[in-house]
Amino acid sequence: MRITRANYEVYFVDYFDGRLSQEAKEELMRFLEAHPDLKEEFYNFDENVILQADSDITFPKKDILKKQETAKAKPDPEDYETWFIAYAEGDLNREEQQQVERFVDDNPALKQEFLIYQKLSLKADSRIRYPDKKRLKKKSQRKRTLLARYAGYAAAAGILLFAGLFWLIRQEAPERQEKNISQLPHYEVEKISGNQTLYEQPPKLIRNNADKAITEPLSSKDRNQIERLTKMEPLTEKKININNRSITNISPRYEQTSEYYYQTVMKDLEYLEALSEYKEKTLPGKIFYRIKNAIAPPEDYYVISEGFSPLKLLGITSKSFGEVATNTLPENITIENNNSNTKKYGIKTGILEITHKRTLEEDQ
Amino acid sequence: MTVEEYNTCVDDFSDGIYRFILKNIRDEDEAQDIVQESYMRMWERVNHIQYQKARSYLFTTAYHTMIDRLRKNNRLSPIEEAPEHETRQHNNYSDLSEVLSKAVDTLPVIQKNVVLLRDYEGYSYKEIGEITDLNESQVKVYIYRARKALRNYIGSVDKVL
Repeated sequence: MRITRANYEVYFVDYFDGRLSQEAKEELMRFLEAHPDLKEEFYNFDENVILQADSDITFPKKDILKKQETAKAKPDPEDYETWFIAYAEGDLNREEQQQVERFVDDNPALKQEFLIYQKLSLKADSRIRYPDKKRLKKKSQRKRTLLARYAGYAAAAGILLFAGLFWLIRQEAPERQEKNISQLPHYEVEKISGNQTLYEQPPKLIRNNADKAITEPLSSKDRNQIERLTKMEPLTEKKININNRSITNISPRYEQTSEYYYQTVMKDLEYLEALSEYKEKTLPGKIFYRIKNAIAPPEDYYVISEGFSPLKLLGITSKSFGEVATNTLPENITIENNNSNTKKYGIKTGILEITHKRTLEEDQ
Repeated sequence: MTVEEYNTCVDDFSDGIYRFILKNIRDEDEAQDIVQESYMRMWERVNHIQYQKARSYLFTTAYHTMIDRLRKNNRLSPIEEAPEHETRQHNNYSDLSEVLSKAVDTLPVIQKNVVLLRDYEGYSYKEIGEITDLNESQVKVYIYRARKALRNYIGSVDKVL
């Protein structure tokens, strides 16, 4: 921008505020040489425009505004809850923590109260799991459609498995059996028929099966889980009615619980899915699988999670099993419980057949 | 966020969100629905959301979806007032965590939620504020009130220590 008579004031102000570049300063000087009347104005500029605050004037009432430092708040017998909470929440600094600790030492009657505030933290029930993670996941388009189709079938297989298990419970005499390895939950998957037998190396079922759990020393993780599950004492004295039979004294070990069984089943369902996918790659056609020799936990192997349902655990809603017969779905088992009327569910042993079916038409 | 990271989020966070929502809405189907919806919304914006922010995004979405639904169905009892709850002895339980789990259900919705986010997920006051649209000190006040209410619910100390 050129300096003109119309805008020179801006340059004056900027000059005295020290905001002009070297180049602009030089231009300003050239401008002043060319306009002697303005040169005079320029040299008179700064004394006229810069104001000074009068340092003699002071605010007379500072004292009114100032605050007295109050005695620092401390826990006292009338007001300790907030301190105890803050301590438990980790909101206190080291000094304040020590203050609370000293207060508790001085007031032994409040010691228990202090301890209880530290135990108020809620724990999520780790047995509750989102049942349908697979469906939330995303895959490439082609793969997804195939998997979606098979996920449905695999889920249906799961349904039938449980359905069969429930069916059997109603057939069986209510005898108690000795627990031995053969009764621990397990089952086998077998291809029983179908037009095609072309796959040469089907994927292997890798399963941490029940036998292993009983014959091998438990890992510390397993041991913790067992401990956690067997700690669920409340069930021991409760009456459970299954088809008018009462069962009491339940205290399952981990590998006797449905949680364990569920893990096993899930592994197998994954296997079925993998198998289907494998088959897809070799040759399309009808495939049937049978789950045979399925043995679920005996009678007192029991599901103990509140809200547990075999269907829910598998993430199966009615949409998932469309074509599959639904008349053998598990029934809920109600546990009579002094504290609440929660419904709980069980899984029982049985033999069943699942049909894992695809047709050539579907592929075309 | 890549598809792989998205899928990791499913593995890592869906259980936690599900537990959190289920504790509020005792309907498994609806809770699952809310989890699904939250992931669906994240998927729609998957290219815009950083992996590091995903957990927070999911909890925030799930929380607001849940509150909206409760409100829509008039199931949201006054959000800030607690139903009057007298202190009494809950000695039918042998396990403190069971008592607390019942006790938290008696809290007003907002107190319940902040305390669940704190205890279940270990979120800080600030993070909880971001999820629930509160400021940090409001969160703190709600948590303190909740703790007092939980304490009162338990009743006599001897039974639980």
